[in-house]
Amino acid sequence: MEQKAPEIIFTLLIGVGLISTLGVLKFSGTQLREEFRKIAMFLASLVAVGATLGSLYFSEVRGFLPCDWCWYQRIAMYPLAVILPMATFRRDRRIIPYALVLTAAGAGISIYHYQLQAFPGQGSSCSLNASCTYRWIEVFGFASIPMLALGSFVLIGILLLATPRPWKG
Amino acid sequence: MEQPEPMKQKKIIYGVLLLLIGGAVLLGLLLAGGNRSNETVTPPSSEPNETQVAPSTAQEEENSKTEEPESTPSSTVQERFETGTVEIIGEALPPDESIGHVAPGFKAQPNTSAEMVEIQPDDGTIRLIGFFAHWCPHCQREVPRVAQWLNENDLPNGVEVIAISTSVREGTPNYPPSEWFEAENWPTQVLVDSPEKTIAEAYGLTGFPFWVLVDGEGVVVHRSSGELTEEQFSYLVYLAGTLAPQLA
Repeated sequence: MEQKAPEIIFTLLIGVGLISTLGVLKFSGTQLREEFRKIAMFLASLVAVGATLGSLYFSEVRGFLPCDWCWYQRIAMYPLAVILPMATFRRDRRIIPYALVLTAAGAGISIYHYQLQAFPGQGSSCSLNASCTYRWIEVFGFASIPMLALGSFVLIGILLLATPRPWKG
Repeated sequence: MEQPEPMKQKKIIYGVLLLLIGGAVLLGLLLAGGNRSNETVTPPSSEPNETQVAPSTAQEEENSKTEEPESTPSSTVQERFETGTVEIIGEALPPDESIGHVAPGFKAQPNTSAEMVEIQPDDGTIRLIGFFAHWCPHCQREVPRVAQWLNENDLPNGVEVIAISTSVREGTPNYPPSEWFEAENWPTQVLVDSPEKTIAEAYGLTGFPFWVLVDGEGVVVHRSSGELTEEQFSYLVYLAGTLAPQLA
């Protein structure tokens, strides 16, 4: 299946984002790490907004129909795209535990959806929306949309966890 | 803490961020396969009522989206329809219960002709109606399985099997459904639903594949969504057979 530029770009962004975030958090000097951690919530909001817009690009521009499980992942991601930028703007870290719950839920759903695509024999009927096992994209042979979502949720989770404490008050 | 240091770090971070994003965009554009004319996944358009499929190259497929007159017929080219006009005669079945209700009649086109046929559930024929969506993997497994069963076994007297192709979406897998049914040697009539899934809704469809067994008086005896095993399907056929009036 030919992969077009946008999905390749999204995959690369998530992959590179994950690698460089982990790299900075683990291996960089204290100064760099501390500065990075200060803007971690801002970066997380970028990822959430990017993932939200990306999913809308796939459904509204490319015409990929979201199946039931896609919608559940959207339910976890879309609120993050609203509350994380708001919290960044307000410098309010109290949002982080709530955001982490959504992130964890979203990651769990993405994992389930990804394995549904990997092992399509489960279930016996299709709902009226699209089939959840169909791989609309398959970048580098493995990255489907739920995988991109999973990467986004994980990246957001890491960034939020890297935000300096305290998160209260 | 000195002022310049954190600023420098920040600039490094943002700078690298921009570099990474730019790099990803560039790399993505470079690695991308496929140019526009080969695009096979298209946004679902509000379909014209008929799609005529001739043996086509990718170019012709693009052309057939606008309603073109039939291409020069050769004797092997058959007109095909993926959706059609539908008329419902009677009351729709609710999605949450159906046993004992009277199924609505309807007029619809077969996928090989523009002429409508009328299905009247109370005309004495027992009907096993299967609703299939071409893009649904469960239908993709069900159709060949049932086709094989039907090709190898006889239906009891007075029992008819009808397939209804519904929820048709260009640009999704296994399109066009008419070719799919033919490839699977489906032996019965295939009727096409409207783009608005009129028949499916009138029968209270809740999932794919969807089977409805209607007796000779039009009363629904069985209705289910989901793939059936060969055993389950042959039981359904047996059940249909028991609905035939017994010889005196």
